[in-house]
Amino acid sequence: MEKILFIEETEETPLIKLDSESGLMEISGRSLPENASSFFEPVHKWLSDYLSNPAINTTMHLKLEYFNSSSAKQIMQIILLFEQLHLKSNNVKILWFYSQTDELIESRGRELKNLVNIPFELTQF
Amino acid sequence: MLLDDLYSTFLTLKNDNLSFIYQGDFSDDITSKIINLSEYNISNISELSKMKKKVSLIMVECFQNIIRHGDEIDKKIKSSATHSRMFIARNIGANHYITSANLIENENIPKLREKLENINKLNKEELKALYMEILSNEDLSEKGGAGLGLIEMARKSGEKLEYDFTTFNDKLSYFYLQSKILGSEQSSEAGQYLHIPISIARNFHAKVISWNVLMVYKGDFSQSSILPMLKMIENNMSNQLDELKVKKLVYIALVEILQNISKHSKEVGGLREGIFLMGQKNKSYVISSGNLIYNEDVPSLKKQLDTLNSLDKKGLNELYKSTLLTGEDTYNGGAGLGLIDIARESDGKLEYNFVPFDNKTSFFSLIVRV
Repeated sequence: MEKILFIEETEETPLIKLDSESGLMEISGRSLPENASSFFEPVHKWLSDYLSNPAINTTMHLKLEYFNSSSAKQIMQIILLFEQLHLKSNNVKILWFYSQTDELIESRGRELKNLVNIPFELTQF
Repeated sequence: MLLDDLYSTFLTLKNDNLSFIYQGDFSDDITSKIINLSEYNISNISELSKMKKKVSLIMVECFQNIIRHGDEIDKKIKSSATHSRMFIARNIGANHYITSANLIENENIPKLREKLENINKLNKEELKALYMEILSNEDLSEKGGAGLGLIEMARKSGEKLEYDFTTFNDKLSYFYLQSKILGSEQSSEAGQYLHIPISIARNFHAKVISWNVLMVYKGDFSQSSILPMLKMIENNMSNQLDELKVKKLVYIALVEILQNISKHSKEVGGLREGIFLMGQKNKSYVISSGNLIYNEDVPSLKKQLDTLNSLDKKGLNELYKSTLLTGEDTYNGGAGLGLIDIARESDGKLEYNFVPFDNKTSFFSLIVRV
């Protein structure tokens, strides 16, 4: 497994930065690919490996401007992976960022938070 | 705009590889997006790729005309009734048609008509000579170019310019201008040449005005075609809407609808074809799509839509959450998550219908209001 998984941001896909040493993860930008499962495939793969040998603390920063329904499923799957880690009593936290004026992203975050049993903070930026 | 309007527009544009009609905010930024959009579509059809540059150049001239003359009129009739500027690009067979509509002052019509008549009389060499002559003439600053744009269009097109004037009021008229670029003889099969009179553009103009439509697109709906369109609409909205929430809702509905066409429409010649119309009235938006689907897929889609329409917001939210949690991204299989998302964000019910198109397919129209 690569120590760091880094995927650069494009017009339709988000920035991905996963660091196995520090346990800091980030997905930010727009996620609008037509076929999100193929875009997120390396992310799932990397995270599955990470789960067997996680850092002491894991923090996932989700800072999304837009995401389509195809990406919503993938993000849900990622959050569920972290939930597994949390259930194994690891120190895991999800931070969902939304801009002050962005009600929609805020409510999407709240919706996801209510679907999982994991420390999940909504943070205004 | 109604479901029937969607189908009738589709039938009118049935033979087009690409049609793009735009009415709304015109800026240089939008020009470049439209060029991206049409370049992508042109390069899909390999034998047309050499025309790319010609078509792009004519589009640029056309846009600059609309921007330049439109802004001038805007200043003059600030308080007057709303008017519209329009741009059309169509590709049918090997041929391209580019049309603009903008208001001009009635008193300028005779002069403009004379210029156009003169340009249409000249052959290639004479046009070049006239172009050079005007270029070297220093006092032509009036309106930025004494018909230089028109001459350039005529030169690039190699065909006569078509034009028309329609009275708007006692001071102003709509000026319609159409250039055509014909494909090389080798690539155009016999009978493929279909003349599109300028009156068709005029009819479209009347329709998009009465429907409050900002954009009509017929063509390929793969991601690379969708992106420039999204960008264009996003720019247009940010100039007009202050409320971020509406902007975001419109954007989300747009992405889902456009990707829905791409996923579910019948593939013709390697392209996923459909039609897309977007309208705006005050602060509400209408997003609509139409595409051909196989008859055997109609019942399940209809059932899905009826289910969504039977649920209230709370029920839709619950359905969204449970669908989200079931995992598996059923790409191409119709996850339904996209439609649920559209339904819960839209204002009122989803409007849809299915019209039998041929033995195998039906035309599926969908209208969403945000």
